[in-house]
Amino acid sequence: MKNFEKHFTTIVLSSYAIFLFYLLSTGAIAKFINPRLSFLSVIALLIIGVMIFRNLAKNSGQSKHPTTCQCGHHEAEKFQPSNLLLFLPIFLSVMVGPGTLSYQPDNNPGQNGGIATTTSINPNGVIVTRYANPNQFANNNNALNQNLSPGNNNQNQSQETEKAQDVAAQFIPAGYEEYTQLNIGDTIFDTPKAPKQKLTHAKIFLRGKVIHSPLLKADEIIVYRVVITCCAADGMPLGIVVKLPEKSDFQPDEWVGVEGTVQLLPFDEKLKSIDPIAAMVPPEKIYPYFTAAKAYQVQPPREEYLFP
Amino acid sequence: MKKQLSLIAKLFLLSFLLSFVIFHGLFLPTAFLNKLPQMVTIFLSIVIQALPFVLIGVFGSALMQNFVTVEMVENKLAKTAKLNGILLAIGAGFFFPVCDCGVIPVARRMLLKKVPPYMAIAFLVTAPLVNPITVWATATAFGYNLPVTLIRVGMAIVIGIIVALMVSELFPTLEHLFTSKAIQEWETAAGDNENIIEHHHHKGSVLADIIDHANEEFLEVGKFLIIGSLIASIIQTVIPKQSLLVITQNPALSVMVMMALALCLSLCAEADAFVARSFTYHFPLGSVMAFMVFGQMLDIKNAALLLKSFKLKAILFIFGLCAILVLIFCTFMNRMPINNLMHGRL
Repeated sequence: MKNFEKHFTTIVLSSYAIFLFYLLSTGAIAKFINPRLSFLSVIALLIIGVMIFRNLAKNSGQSKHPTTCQCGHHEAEKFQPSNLLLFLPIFLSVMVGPGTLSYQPDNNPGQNGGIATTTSINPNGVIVTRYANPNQFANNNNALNQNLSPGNNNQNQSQETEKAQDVAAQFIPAGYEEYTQLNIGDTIFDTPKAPKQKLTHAKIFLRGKVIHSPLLKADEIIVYRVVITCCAADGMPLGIVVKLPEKSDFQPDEWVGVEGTVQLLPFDEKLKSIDPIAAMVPPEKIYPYFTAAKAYQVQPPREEYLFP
Repeated sequence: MKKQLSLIAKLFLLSFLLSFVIFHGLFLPTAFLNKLPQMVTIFLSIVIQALPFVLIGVFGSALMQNFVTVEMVENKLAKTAKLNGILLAIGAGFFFPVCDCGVIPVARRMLLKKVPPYMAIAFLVTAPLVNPITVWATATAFGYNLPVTLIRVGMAIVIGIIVALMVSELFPTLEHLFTSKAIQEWETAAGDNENIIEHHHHKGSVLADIIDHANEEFLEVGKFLIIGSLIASIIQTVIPKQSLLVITQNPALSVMVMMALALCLSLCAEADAFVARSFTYHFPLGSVMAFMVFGQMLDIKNAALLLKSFKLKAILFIFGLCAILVLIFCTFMNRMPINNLMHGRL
């Protein structure tokens, strides 16, 4: 126990270092923060590394720093049981595992309000995640869970599956230009980099997850994606109303691709309770309305979230 | 006896948390459990995002501990007028890129180095809002809209000055701001400054001292960051945003709702402007500004950390005053026809 207390700080810091290194090396960090900001985690990793080395040196007695002194200055270094809380992030990441952020409005029957996961609990109390088709599992399931679970010896096979799915996920139909909900948002808010004319004259391919709403017609859905600016805590759904060629039978949160054109219409006030739509409305109160020539199920992209 | 009870309470909390996760199926309602992975995602994301800033903050604090002496501070600030001192502290916030996660260790260390409390509080309240990263993020979120960016920074500076002036009158010394336990701990830790420097600064060990101090401070600050992040993630998962957003008609009420939302969400300074931008359809500019300004001055994640050392009375006064000032300024903004200032991209 005394050894544990002596090396406590080193153990905590090492667990954080391993956790961060894992997230950075596998790309799983994109499940939590905007990868553009992952350099901050690299900085954290370096700082933690320095702190670990210092602790190891101190504990092995090579340090000239007088840790055995009775000056009272080292009170803060004493082990306190509440310090065990520092393990909580590591513990939760292993025991529960993170979910995928998604959004279903409050007025959708049987769905969680606001940002929610597609994960549910079976009658035995075990967490299960629903996918529109089994192939989505490898892409959707986060790398952290995969590698931390026992018996993970078919890594090569899963890598091949991932490659194949990457190719499928990058599919863009000929003659179409892929726009994300974020690109369309940029254009609507009229930033210099994306003029509105380009949007309304283009043949667009849009990918995203499905929201149904009783506020929409039977042949309309919302295709949305969650935008993460900084970290998952600020995850914000951005969506486009899509008119389908025929009545929709897509499931909520199913990944779909739609091919068609965008119009900018006066905003329909009744839709203001749907966050992903309200977030796309500029002060001049217009909103993008997508008329799809084709709509079909697609593989989820490697990075489910959009990062500005 | 008291110590033992405290230990038992902590162990109980820990065992509850463990059982919460391991046996969650037995205790908790399914509706909550469905949201558990989402809660964990948000919790981890806050921790991962805040960790670098906390580490930079504790190193900043450790550098201050080693290189800034009480005498140095006293000599430099002895002849500085109060208002100049406050502006100096706010200016330091502009050049010290700490967000709300990293500002508390730095402000705490400032106080320990006998920086006048009003200056440290001015820094604490304004630094997350006036630092270049936050200014840049605000400008980007609102389509490089200069008025919105300036209003945010300007409001932070004005509130910082008012709060600091009030603190200088009502909380002039460290004893007024901090619990006696916290002061005692720090005095033991910092000790008689000269003795400690003499005791610690052996030849070639300055770097080791800095890292040691950073280690100690990380243990102290880290657990409060975790408690705060956990509470923030639970609130964000359990309370539906829609229930807060229904109140938009009343200018003052909508400001209060947005302040409450900012308090609960505990967003980083780099991100809150982008989230605030998504509220611009629901809320007028004043309410959105309240979200961006108050959220960086106080949030649940930091409240746990503040409670560790500040007197409750001092916290209530400082952040109560911030809340009242934000409420007054933002309600006034809501009554002015300035909503057309909000143009820009998402």
